[in-house]
Amino acid sequence: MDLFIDLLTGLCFFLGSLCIIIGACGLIKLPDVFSRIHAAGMIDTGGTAFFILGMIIQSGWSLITVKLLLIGIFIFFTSPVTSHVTANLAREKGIVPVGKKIGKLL
Amino acid sequence: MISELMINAFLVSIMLAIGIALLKSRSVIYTVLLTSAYSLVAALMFITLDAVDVAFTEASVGAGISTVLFLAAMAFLPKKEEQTVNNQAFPAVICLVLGGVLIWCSYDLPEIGLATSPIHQHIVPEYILGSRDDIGIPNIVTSVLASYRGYDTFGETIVVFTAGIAVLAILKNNKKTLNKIKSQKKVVKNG
Amino acid sequence: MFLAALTACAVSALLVLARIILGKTTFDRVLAVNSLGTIIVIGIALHGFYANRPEFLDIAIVYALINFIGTVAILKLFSTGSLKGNNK
Repeated sequence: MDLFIDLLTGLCFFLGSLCIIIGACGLIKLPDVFSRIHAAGMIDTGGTAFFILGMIIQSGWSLITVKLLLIGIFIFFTSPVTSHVTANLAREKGIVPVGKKIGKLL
Repeated sequence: MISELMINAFLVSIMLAIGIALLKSRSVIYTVLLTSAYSLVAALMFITLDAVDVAFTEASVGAGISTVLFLAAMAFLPKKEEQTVNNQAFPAVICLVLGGVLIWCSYDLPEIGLATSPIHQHIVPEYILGSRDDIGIPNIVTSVLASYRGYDTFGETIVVFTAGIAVLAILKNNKKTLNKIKSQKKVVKNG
Repeated sequence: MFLAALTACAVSALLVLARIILGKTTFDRVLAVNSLGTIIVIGIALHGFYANRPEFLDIAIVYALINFIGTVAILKLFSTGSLKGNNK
């Protein structure tokens, strides 16, 4: 049973690491703000979700589980708000997405 | 043990990189952002050093309140910092010499966590032995802060409170006074 | 296992830091600082498990909230020029 729990945690951590490394590479590689928001969202959702799931599996039922769930819920609710505000403001300040002509925007 | 060392070295090098970027930045918002990122990393550093209470303070004050306060203050400033033209060699030499002296002095410090170092010999054993019978509080930290050094803590609280009131008084948005000043200026110009 | 996960966090923190320093616009930097905050929240939790003291998760909770407040405050300053109420 211990081995099974460790395996599950390892799988979760592997997926989470994959998510955050892909997200960080995307932040470097993608061309403008609007596409980088996708990469940041990858870190905020996929990364934290898998890592927190792995730690919950590892810790079992205790107060730690509740705290981990709280962290997950906070990030789950705050991350979309941040992305939305950033995209909205960037649009308002006149940043044009790559591959769009200025006249055709919206 | 070696992994702890590696984690610490990594965090310190990240903080160094942020510091160098801070030196180069000329935009106000960028500076505030970098300061916020710096205290984010600093708190992780404090956790690896087992100073959880300091990390908690750094998290709430360093990353949260001071960012917002900086922003509130910098809303009154121009967006770009002016380029300085002064010669900066002399301050750099002073900083390097001072830093070198401090690093040289740090070799005389006792090892971290050593029980026989002077700071643990002077009055700490008295506190540890007497705190239960003298004060009656089970937590030693609480009894030291609230009773042995009660006046000290009292003074600190007053200082922090005064600073808070002063900041509020400065940053308070006094539209009436501003309008009064503006109208006076107009009167002077027109009359 | 926890050390490997911490290493992944470290690698991505380096990449995100590069975006903070290189970033062209302020929005790139705000986004990257927010991501760095998330990575550090994960790092604090992982380090707690790695050092066998997972009681320190409270700091991670504080961080997840503080990070959000800081980011929104910076964006608000950038949009309206002050931190007062909704005076667009």
